[in-house]
Amino acid sequence: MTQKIALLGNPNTGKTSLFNRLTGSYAHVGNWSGVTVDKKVGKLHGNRGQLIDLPGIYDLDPLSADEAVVARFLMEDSFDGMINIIDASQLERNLQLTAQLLEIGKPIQIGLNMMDVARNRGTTIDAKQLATALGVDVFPIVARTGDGCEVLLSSIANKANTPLRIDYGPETEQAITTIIEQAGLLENERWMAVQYLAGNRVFVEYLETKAPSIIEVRKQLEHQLGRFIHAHITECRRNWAIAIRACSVVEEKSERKTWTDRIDAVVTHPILGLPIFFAVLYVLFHVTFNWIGAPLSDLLAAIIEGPISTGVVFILTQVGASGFIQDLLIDGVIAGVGGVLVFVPQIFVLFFFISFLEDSGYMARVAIVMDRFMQMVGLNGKSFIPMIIGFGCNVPGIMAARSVEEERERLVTIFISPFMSCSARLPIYAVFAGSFFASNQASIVLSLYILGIVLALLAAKVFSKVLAAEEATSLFLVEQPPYRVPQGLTLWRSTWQKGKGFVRKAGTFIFGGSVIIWLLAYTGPAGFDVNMNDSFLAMIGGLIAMLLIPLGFGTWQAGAALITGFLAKEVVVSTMAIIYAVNESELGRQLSGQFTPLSAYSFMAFVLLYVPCLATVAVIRREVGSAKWTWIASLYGLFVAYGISFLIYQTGQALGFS
Amino acid sequence: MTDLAMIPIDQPVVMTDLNKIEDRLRRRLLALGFYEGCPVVVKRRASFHGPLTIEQRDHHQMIAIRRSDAKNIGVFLP
Repeated sequence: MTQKIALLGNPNTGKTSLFNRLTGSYAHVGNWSGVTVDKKVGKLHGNRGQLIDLPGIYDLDPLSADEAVVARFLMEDSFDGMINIIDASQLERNLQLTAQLLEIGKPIQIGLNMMDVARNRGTTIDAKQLATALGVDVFPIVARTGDGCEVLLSSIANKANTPLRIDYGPETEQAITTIIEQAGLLENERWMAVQYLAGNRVFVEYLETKAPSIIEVRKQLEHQLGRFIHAHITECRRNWAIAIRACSVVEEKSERKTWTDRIDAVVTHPILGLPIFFAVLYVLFHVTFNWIGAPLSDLLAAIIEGPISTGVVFILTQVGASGFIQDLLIDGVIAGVGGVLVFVPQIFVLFFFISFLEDSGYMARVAIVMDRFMQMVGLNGKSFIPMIIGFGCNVPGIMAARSVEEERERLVTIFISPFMSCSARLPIYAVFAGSFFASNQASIVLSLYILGIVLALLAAKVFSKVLAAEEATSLFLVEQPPYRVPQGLTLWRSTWQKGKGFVRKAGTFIFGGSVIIWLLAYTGPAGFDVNMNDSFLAMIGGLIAMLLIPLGFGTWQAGAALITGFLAKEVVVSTMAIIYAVNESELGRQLSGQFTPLSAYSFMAFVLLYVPCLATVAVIRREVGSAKWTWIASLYGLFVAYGISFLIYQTGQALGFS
Repeated sequence: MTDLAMIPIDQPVVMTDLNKIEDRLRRRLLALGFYEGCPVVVKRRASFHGPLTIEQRDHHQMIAIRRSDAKNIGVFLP
């Protein structure tokens, strides 16, 4: 039997944690609203069917792109049952959504999560009494550790469920009946009529095209009620939820000042909030580069250059491989792939910290701290969350922009995301900053991140102006979840999930890229094994080298590295390692012949800004849905990069730096 | 009757008017348990007229909204 079960609930209630538990998946989790922005299908353990993880919603009426995913799913897809996850510490609010789900009348089970948080606040809920009051099964679960999750699936699809009928009062009930008649709805589709009256935009569109006459019914009802219909309907649901709550909450005592209050008093402090945010970023980079990441990377480099390289050479000579194969493997693959792989520890440390920030609840606070600044450039504090995610990788950052309600703001957030310095740029900084600015690596790298942020904000200002065709209103309401101590296992999983992609890229893109680049450097118009300056690679790089002279790095090597860097930014390092035919630790020394500190900085700034990588362009295309805007979003960076690097190099020279 | 942006920090008040704010914000507030007649308190104010952190006192729901929106929310000091 293959049944399809949908996971539904308020944002940040642990749906994805449960999904991971029940399907053995490792989908991305965090402690802020809007982590999941797309539906994800997973196979249940023991072939019991499919589980569909959906973005969190407060209401069936979608206000943002991720919420629209849910509304569309409920309208268009077929499914056999629902699991509704409820946050026990916010019972009343969660029950308002439960009411809407119960009205649908599909088989449903409830997972009661975060009982511990509720208990800390002095609220104890009796799951059995809640089940009796709701008339459906309720299971207490701890989604993060997996306690009680398996039980959830035991009886789901077998249980038919009669739709919940809340009495919305005589006028509204009359209107519901009229709409069911006029729109030709079935008896079990009463919920659609209720959603329509509540102003759910999906059903407004669907039902009004079916039966335009119902618009009058809605207008008349609003007049009769003398208030917004949705306010009235929400109130009825709230009263229902209060009644349910009253018979299932066992104990209530007043609470003390919580940890969340104490931490918030510091991190969202009116004056200290912003410096603290930048201090957090600085510590993050300092640890990544100086304290943990760099020593580990050096260790790994020593292993790759030492035992592994010698081992490969030994094996190759033993099997009598040709000189061509030996060169290809040593100078091409090991130099190219190894040059990038040595940065795996640093990237994992970075991802660990991003996961920590996501899981702690700090992200929602960043939205507050940054809102004023974001507003100045026509954006929203919420846009800053995708931007921080973008520090890890631009692809999930762009996806995360779906939780920004305003379409204009979402588009602008996507456009500026490539300026967020992702982990793939990190190997480039590590090589250049390590060689030219060894004593203050972390500050140099932080300055690049800040350059990216500042230019992103300026670009946002421009894009907001261009796109602001209609009256620009902006929705800003960010839920502030209580802080929690991130769990070791969850943290490790999120870190591994994000870091895995980087390792996989090394095995595919960078491997293939290295082979091609080495071949291009090995061959030339004159044949094979040419002097590298006469190779095809030198010709390709030479095409743009002229243009790069004013920026301080007008060599064919730099040109070739930048062109190949479009595949993935790490390829810049691979290409250089191949060109200079050295291992990573000597690369720096080789570069000091070709670059000065000033031109190195100019080069780093150029790499940060010039063009999003292939994967990012693909996701921009999908999220923006327009070829024209994809072109603009992908290419404007080139001009910005040229301008900025030009300024850095020329001003630097004028000021007497070298 | 005054508005939410005027209220001193930690002063318990009751929300009385959600008619002047934008429709989507009103829907979000209602869905999060903020309705006319509910008890709220302003916990913090960000600098430079930034967002206000507001708590629904019945169930300790915390949210942040903009000051410009808070100005349009009527409250009553009990």
